[in-house]
Amino acid sequence: MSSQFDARYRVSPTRAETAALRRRAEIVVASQRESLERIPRRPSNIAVFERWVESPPDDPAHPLVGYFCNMIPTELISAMGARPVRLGCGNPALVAPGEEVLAGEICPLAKSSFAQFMDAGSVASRCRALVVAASCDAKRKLAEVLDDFVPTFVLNLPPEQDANRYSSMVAGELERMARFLSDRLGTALSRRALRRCIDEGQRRTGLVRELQSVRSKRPGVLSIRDLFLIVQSAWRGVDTSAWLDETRKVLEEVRSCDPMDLDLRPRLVLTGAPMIWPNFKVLALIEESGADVVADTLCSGAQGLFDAVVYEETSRSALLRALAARYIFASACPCFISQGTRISRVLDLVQESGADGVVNYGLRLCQLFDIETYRLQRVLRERRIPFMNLRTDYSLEDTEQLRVRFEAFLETLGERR
Amino acid sequence: MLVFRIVDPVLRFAEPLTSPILALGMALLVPFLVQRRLRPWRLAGALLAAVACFFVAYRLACTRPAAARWLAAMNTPLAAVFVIVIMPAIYLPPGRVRRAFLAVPAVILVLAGLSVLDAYRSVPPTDAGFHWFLIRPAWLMGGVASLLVLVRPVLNLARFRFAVRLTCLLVLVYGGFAFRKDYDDYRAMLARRKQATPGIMNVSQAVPVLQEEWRMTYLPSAPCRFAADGGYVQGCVLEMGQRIAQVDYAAALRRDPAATSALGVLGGAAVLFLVMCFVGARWFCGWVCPLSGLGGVLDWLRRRTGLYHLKPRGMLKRALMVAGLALALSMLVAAAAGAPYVGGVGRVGNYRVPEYPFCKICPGQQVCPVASGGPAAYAGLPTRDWGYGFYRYACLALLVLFIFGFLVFRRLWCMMCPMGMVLGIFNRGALFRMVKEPLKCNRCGVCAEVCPMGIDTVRSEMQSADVGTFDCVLCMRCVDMCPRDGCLAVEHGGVRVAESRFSARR
Repeated sequence: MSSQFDARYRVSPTRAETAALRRRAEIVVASQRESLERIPRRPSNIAVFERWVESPPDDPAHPLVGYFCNMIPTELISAMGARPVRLGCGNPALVAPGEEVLAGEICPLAKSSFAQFMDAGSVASRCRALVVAASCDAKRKLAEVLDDFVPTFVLNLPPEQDANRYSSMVAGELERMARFLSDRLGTALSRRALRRCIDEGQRRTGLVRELQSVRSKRPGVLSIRDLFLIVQSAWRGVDTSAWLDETRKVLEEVRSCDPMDLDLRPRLVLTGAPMIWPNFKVLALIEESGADVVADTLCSGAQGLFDAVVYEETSRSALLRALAARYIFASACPCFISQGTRISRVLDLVQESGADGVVNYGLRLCQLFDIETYRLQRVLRERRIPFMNLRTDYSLEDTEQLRVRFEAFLETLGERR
Repeated sequence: MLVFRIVDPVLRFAEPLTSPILALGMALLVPFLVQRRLRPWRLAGALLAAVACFFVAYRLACTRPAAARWLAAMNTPLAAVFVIVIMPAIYLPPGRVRRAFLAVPAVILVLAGLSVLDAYRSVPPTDAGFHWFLIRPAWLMGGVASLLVLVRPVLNLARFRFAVRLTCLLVLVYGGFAFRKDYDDYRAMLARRKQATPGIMNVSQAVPVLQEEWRMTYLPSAPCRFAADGGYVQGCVLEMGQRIAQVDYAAALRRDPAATSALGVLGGAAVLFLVMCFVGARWFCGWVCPLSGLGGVLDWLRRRTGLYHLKPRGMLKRALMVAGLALALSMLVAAAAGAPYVGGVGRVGNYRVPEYPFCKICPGQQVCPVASGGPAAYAGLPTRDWGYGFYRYACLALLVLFIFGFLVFRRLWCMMCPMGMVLGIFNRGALFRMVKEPLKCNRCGVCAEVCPMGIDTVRSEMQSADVGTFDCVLCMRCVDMCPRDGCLAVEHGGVRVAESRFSARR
């Protein structure tokens, strides 16, 4: 298959001084771990998830395929015998090294994600191939840069989430992605393997939904940070059945957990930009200030595994269409023309979970989420649902300032309650 | 058998229960009362009072012989089965009451089984052996409905639908052979089998269908009476329409006994048909119709091959609808114009017209006999001397369309089926309702993807809760497949009969 990029202008990859880069990143991870240890009630096997989220288990039989965005159908990657690893990076220590090479006015997620590739020994560099959804300008252009490091495929997205109009186009793009992976991995996509992976994904979704429904009633039983950790570890090249086993243990523990007095705390719905381990700054801030996130619409949170791929027919194109339906057309990403899906989801979650308010996490330099805040804020105001926008980046400098603002918001909630 | 010495008088007393008027009344009254949230004992009291009033009124009306004849022409065991078995299964609140109610279908099923044993007692000892199921229509209808109500709690929606479709296919296509009302009827059927000679334009019409006394039961879907050995019910509604077109109305006005009697029987069947339309709308297409059941086999074959299906566009849909309507109307006119029929042949000008012109071009008449009686039952194509060869080529064209419509598309045929169009009128405003909670919709489009009728409005509707459409066959695939819990639902009389629930499906 011909490359999507102009082969004449390939350049040799830019590397950084590895040891220093790693040391800085590890310090951030260690400090985040410390903060997690202060959570009063954690699942007994959470260490497994902490390990998984850091680095995928080594398995020569299954090469790693990296991807960006929750809009990449991971079932397609696993069906070809590879392990999908989501490479979106939340490490604040990697922002500056990325910025030095790229430019300043790019979102921290893109900069830190790029910096992973500058370390030749990182998980990102170990990937056999890379699939990037063209969900924003940063990702679209980053893909061409990253192609110098790891062979990359850009998945084109339709501008509108109109399945009627674009379903065939997306199925065609997925077909192309399968061909790219097939070239890189030397394996073919079989209908049976794809079905098996989809069924496994459905079990994963079922489990996340159950966790979510238990948590939504009594958020005290499982911290939102631990839930995010569990969900995000599922994307880190872990064997799905192993992940299912461990998560089932968590669910059992959470179910048998007796209610805590913490359940009287304000209940919030979290929406907005992705929060990726170890960037749990805002999550920690919310919990430490005495509130609970009972539901979220984050592509890196429970929402990221909430939707299921459902298929009725089992032909190749029917299965690809089923993937497209879940990953593209049901996505709440702001990169599409209408933001109706996300607003509906927020309103529905508020209603379902009986939340007291909505917190929007805006990632600095992400225009898409920034502009969507306009409508979200007004729609919620019309419906008299308290709303707060927390706009920040990866750096920890503004934490105290955010805390003051957030506590003031909680006080207004307290007056309403 | 002793049981029937008790049961039969009870059934005779309960004859008003078989009236579709009562069924319609109950279908209107029960949802009304359920929505008022009456206490259970008050609800039961109100319903019992209503039934008692109807019994008294019915008996009073029957004291006039003319009224008695007209009322009896409408009656069908189906109405009683609907009121006694199906309605409680839908409207009783889930829980202990509904579980306790399951005793009713269980008893009916046992009685239906006993009635078969009872019928075997009339078989002479010289012929002792297996003669399939000798069962009266009332027991068969009650037994089948009871069986389905009993299996519902243990099956998920998709499996339940499969069970219903398979049962309907077996009863309506093979029922004419396997279920006869008594041993004499069975012998008569076997005798007809031997002497039948092929000849599409006349012979199959001579095959009588199984009927009770002199009333006719037409289901609002397409059970073909030309199935080998006669179908279990009269035939499809289009056959009824053709018969209505053929009634000699001038004679009926002169109070000619033959014409008035025919009008009475057909009028009763028409009233029953309308009641069933109101109650079931196009649910009959999706769950009962044996023609689509046979088409489902073709659809299954395509799925096995791993090929994707074609999707009908708006233009094609509209063209098929117009074509179906035009064909049905012109054939009804031909049926009326060809009267009087001599030996099944009528004349329009110099040309011969068959007694049931629509049947002669309908793919059902080509497919059902073969499905039920094997290739030998195929009667061949009409010869060219019927209507300038119109019947020969229209028959071929529609057969090709039927096969193509199920094999390459999913249910293309159903878009031109005239019966479906009549039922479609009742899709909105009658008892069935497709509802959507737009807030829960993530616009993934799975509903549009799985829809056999290629309907897109369930996906695109984001304002209104009512997403019923004319085309919808209420197969409930979208409800079943929707990955968002509580997003789509089907209501009958305001009560939810199905709701999307991802966890329940797996």
